[in-house]
Amino acid sequence: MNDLLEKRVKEIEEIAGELGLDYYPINYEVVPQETMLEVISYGLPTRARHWSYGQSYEYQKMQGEMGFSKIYEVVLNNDPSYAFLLDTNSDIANTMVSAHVIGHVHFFKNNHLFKQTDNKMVYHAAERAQRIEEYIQKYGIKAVERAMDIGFSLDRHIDWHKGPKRSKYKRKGKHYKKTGIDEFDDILSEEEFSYKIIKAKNNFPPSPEFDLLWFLINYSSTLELWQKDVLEIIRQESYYFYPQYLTKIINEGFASFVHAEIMLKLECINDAEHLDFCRIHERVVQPGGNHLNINPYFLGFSIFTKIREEWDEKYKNDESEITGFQKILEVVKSEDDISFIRNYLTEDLANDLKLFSYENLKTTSGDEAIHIIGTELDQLKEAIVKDLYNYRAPLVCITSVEDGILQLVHKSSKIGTLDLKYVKAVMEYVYEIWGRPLNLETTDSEGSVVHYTHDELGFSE
Amino acid sequence: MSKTSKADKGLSDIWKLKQRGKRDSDRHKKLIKDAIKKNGKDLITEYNIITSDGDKKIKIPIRFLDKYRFKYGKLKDKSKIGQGLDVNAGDKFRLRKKKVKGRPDKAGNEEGEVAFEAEVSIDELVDILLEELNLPWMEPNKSAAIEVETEDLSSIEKRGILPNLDVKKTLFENLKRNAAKGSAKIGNINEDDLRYRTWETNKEYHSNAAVYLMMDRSGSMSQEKTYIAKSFYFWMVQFLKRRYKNISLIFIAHDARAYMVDEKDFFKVSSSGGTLCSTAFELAYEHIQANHPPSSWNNYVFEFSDGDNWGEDNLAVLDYVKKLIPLCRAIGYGEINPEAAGAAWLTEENRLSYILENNVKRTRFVFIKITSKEEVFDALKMFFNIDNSAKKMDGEFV
Repeated sequence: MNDLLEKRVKEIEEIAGELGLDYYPINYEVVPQETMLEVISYGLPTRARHWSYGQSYEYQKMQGEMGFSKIYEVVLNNDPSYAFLLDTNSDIANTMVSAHVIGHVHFFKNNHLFKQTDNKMVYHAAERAQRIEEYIQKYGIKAVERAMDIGFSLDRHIDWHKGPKRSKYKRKGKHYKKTGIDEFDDILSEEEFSYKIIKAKNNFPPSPEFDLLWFLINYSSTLELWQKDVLEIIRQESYYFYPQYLTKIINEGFASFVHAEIMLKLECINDAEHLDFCRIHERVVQPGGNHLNINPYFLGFSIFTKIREEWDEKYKNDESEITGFQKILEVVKSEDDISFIRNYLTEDLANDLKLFSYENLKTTSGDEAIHIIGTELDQLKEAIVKDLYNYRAPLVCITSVEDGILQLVHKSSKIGTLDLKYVKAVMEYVYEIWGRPLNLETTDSEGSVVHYTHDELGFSE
Repeated sequence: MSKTSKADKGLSDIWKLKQRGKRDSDRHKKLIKDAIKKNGKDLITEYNIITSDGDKKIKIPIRFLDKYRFKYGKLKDKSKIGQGLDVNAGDKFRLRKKKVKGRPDKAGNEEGEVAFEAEVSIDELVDILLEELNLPWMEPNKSAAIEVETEDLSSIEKRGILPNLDVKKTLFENLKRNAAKGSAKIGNINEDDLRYRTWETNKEYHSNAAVYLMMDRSGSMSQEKTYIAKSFYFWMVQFLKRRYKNISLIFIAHDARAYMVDEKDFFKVSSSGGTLCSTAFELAYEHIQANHPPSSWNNYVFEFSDGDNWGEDNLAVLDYVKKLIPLCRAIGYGEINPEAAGAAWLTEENRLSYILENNVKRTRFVFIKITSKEEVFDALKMFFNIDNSAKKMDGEFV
């Protein structure tokens, strides 16, 4: 980081303090494109190696070479936080990005979803990566890779409410209960006949289990300790990333709002630079040339701008005890994308932004076309948030284990059917770590219930 | 700030030397290669490849490796969100085609999912699929004209590209430099310490080789049979050209007569006429005698036929094979015999394979039967992945 930027960051931090922003200390690092691509491919750069990060690195590189993506920054949710700035960006771009980063780190520190995340993850991931290196030394890359492949295939199936740290199910002791008086009570008057003591059904799992990795780690009899560790590492990372997945619009919107605030107050930049800043800022929060897509920076920023207007107005009229900016800090604390859109995307704003929901069509001539579903607010909200549930993974849970056979049920067939090719592959994975047969119940496109099995003979329908 | 405080070392400093992206993308590439190897049987008879005239530029799409997860197939609600247009419910719009060339297609609309295709050229495929193949029983001769190039990451230099950084050597240099200053520990790595591996081209000289590729093009060679023979020869030619420079390839097509043709025509020949396999062997024999004395040439003769040869001609072939063996490093005969297409009049005993199999018991006479195109890959391996140590076991004529 050059001296100029360093000086500016100091001023930015002063302004952030005056605004009442509350964030972890930030380590800024200005890095070349290559390093930036690595950081973005790994998401958490200290985590263990896996071929899939190499794949996404290739992908990023390709995108970069074709000029499709311009990554301005990456910031890690950690205390202290780490922020990466591109060395090829202009000083003014990096000044803005430094301010933007403060918005993100405030978000990490204050949003309720992040209370459950590990804010020392950068270091923990490094330790875990070290353990995985040791496993690779000991058991070979293939075996470790296999365990990781399996872990990644199930890592989106978490149970956020139960959380990453859980203890095993409580063992039910032998449970006996009295049955009610039965219909022969009158005939058989002796007491012992009318009351039966039966063994209560010991349900296992006690209720449908949605945290698939957790269940398999704890109740599989075939996994070795190191394999359990690998799966647990992946599971922990999934819980770490989940809040980020669920707060893309609100987090980017807030960070954009913050950088705009700070840059307006920043005195150390001259007029020419300020003009440059306005241009870059425009680019970040523009709707985008593609009308069939929505830029989360733009949407989030627009909603926050609207919130501020409204609450400042209310404050002026004594209808609210807090100002627009204070309201924004409250929203940041308590909402995620789903509730943010539901609660704060207003009719007015939707009209201003000319939002619409649509479906893709294929014309008879084979051309691509779209069909406008509508501009009604509820439809719009649903179209935005529906992909945000459950990491966008189909809901699959474990309902029972009988004679060692694992019963899985796909619970979200109302949203869509399962892709059979992937079902087969994942069932093979689960069979490998469960070690015994498994069934999966789902619904086909005609609406009838279907069962898939994977056992020692392989997959069958 | 990473620069100001020493205790808080920048994360990027730690990775710079690790080249994690490079390492994992290499690993990904290797896994793709493994997948290609596994599917080699199917790829090798891919119609588009065989009919490409050996065009090196042809690219075969290979999918990036999939990450398997439970995924939705058909979604009930396919609505998406758009912005910035004045539209009403029920409107329909045709989309302008604006696909950017070369831009990878993202699978579905799943955010962040990587699913696109990498491309592999024929040369790369040859390297992946046929890397362990070679001409068997090659002997070094005095007039060495054949070069085999191999590349090794072996030389260590002070300059190079970052992906080839040799971390061990670099750290060692650093340690040495620090030790010279009085404290033998690793730290403060600078430009001077960096050591890179660089490619070294090693030239191995192999002896002259002439390979005779002969193919039956008589009327009984159906399209399917011809396709199998061409698939085999296509890859054989690809790998020979890739592995050996200055190799001499002689293409002979025959029905009741044999013709020397050029490579292009060889792969284009269509079938008609009767069959006299001996004519091809005769032509090869004469060509070798005139041009490729075994004292300075490694000669190889291959023939593909369906074995539906004129009865007496089988004995003539046998005669030529016997004459050719002393002149050749190896002779290969492949008989294509799809089970479904057995000619009623052709009894097992009348097949060329029967005569040769029972009369030529020599290690260096390699015989193989192919019944379907799926076997081409194994056939290639059988011919060109022979354990060279077997050469001492050569027996006598029966």
